[in-house]
Amino acid sequence: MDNIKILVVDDDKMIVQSIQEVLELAGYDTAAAYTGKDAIELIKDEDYNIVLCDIMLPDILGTEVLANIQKLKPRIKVIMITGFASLDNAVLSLNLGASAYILKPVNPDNLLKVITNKLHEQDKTERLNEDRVSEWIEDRLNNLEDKE
Amino acid sequence: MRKDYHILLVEDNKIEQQIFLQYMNYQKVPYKFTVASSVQEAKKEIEVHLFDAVVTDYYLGDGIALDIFDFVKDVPIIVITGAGDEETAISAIKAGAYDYFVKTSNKNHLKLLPLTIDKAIGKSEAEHKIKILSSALMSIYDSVVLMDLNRNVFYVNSSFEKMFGFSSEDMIGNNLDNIWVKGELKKFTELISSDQSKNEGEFQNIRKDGSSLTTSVSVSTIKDRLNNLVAVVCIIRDITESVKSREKLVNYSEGLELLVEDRTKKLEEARKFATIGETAAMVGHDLRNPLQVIINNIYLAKMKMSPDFAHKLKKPLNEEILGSLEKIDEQVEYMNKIVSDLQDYSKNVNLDIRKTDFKKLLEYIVSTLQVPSNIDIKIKNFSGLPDFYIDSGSFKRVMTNLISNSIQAMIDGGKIEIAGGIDDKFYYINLTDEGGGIPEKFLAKLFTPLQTSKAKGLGLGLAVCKKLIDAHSGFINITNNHSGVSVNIKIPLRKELI
Repeated sequence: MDNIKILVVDDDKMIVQSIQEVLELAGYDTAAAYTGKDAIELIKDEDYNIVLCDIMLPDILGTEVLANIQKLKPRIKVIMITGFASLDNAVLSLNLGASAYILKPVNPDNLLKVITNKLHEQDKTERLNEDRVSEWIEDRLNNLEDKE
Repeated sequence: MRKDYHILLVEDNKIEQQIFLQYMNYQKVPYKFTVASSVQEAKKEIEVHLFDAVVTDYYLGDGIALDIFDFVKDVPIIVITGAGDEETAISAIKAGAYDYFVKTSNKNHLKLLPLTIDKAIGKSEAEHKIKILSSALMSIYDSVVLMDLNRNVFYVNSSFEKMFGFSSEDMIGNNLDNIWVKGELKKFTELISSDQSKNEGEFQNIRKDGSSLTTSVSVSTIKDRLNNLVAVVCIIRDITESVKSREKLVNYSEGLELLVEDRTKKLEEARKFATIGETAAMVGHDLRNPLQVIINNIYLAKMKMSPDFAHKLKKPLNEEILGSLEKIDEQVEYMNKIVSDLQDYSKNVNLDIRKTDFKKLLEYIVSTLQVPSNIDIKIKNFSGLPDFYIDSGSFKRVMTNLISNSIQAMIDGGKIEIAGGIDDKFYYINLTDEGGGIPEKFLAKLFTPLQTSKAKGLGLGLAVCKKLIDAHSGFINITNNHSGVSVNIKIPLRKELI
């Protein structure tokens, strides 16, 4: 699990700090953003595996951060975490491509499980993509060989 | 009586005509006279003019007085006959003459004539009036019944006949007893026996054909000059339709009331649920964040106690655990504050207004707060200000909320300044911090309760502050300054203005 980086976005500093501690104890690298705009800036500079994003942020909505991530780095798995349960937000988040929608308070065990699953999915997709690339290269090589 | 009465004198003897007119002139009888010398002349005059009375000689050149009777209608006729001609006079009366005079040679009969003409005209006019009254009674829409003292009917109008189906013949000489629904007769008898000169009542009646109607009956009595009861007048109005529409209206308005009541109830319920929904959403959101921190720290404490993680600890185990417990403690306190705010906001404000030393109060409040070491709270300009009238409990809450908000916003530390001031009307309290201010979009809704804003301290705390300050007839506003917020409070100086 080397080099797995998780960005925690929440304006409640106590939440960010305690989630970071949970994640670090589990062996992940973490970063924190307290506003949506800061989060987007960090994402531009760094390749995170996972972003844990609150919806009610002081500047922009978490769903806007999500949409930006999908545009900038669709590879990143985004997990929305909110204390303000609303079906609209859930549907919007999932439609925008969120990997999961979690309601606060979430038990850290469950959060870690979700993270593990998403990392696994990410891994699988990427391996699938790699396989496809190698298949494609193989095909082209075969073609070249045939032509020769 | 009118003065311009017009009398027709029919007299074939020119000398008699002259004597008559001269005498009337001499007596200053105020009537206008027209003279006709024959039946034919009289007929012509009657066709052209309207006369109030006719005075005629019995024997006329071309006929007799009775010939005139045929074309004179509703006008009193006075006949003058020769002496010893009483039989003629009687036949004239029988034919409809009002009176007769016997000519005397000394013309004494002329002396009585003006009075007789007056009486004849008076009687004729009275008859005319009665005719008009009678046709008026006949033509009015209401039923009119006249009864004698023994409650025997002697008159009903045509509306009565139409209304009840009984003819005039059916009624006259009988009583009114058979037009009432059972039980109503007694009521009616009471109505007419009452001492009041006019009585009214609503009745249920039946027609001759058995169908029913609702009426309004008004009874009045007619008395003679000696105050003896002469007749009872009943005016009966059919109010079946108006009662129906009145009942409809009553039903309709009752229905409307029920409808309004029902809708109001539903609206109130909906509003209550909406409020509960808003409250639940706010409480839900605001309590879930600290809950998340608590859950995280419990998890962390458990993990840190496990030997598997011993190598990852940055500090000794007991310090790590204590750190988690302190965070849990903080969050529990924060949650408690949310619940207190909610209770404060929802309960009625009962002010206990007393003269208060605000500086002392502030110092006490600050002493109860956990102020981080990197935050400096400065209380200034309160010395020398007079005590003023407030409810100190309310202000403890207000200032605690405001100072806590500032402390929470000042993660990196800084200065909180609370300054006092006064003018002739208000006491001023100004709080400034260095917490970076409030995002623009929250400024407008700062005091609106249950705004589920994300930033801490913007849930109910400020709504509670506003409510308490409003209760003091004071004002509070919050603006951003270069490094934080500026909270301005003013409270009326005079106790009676609060």
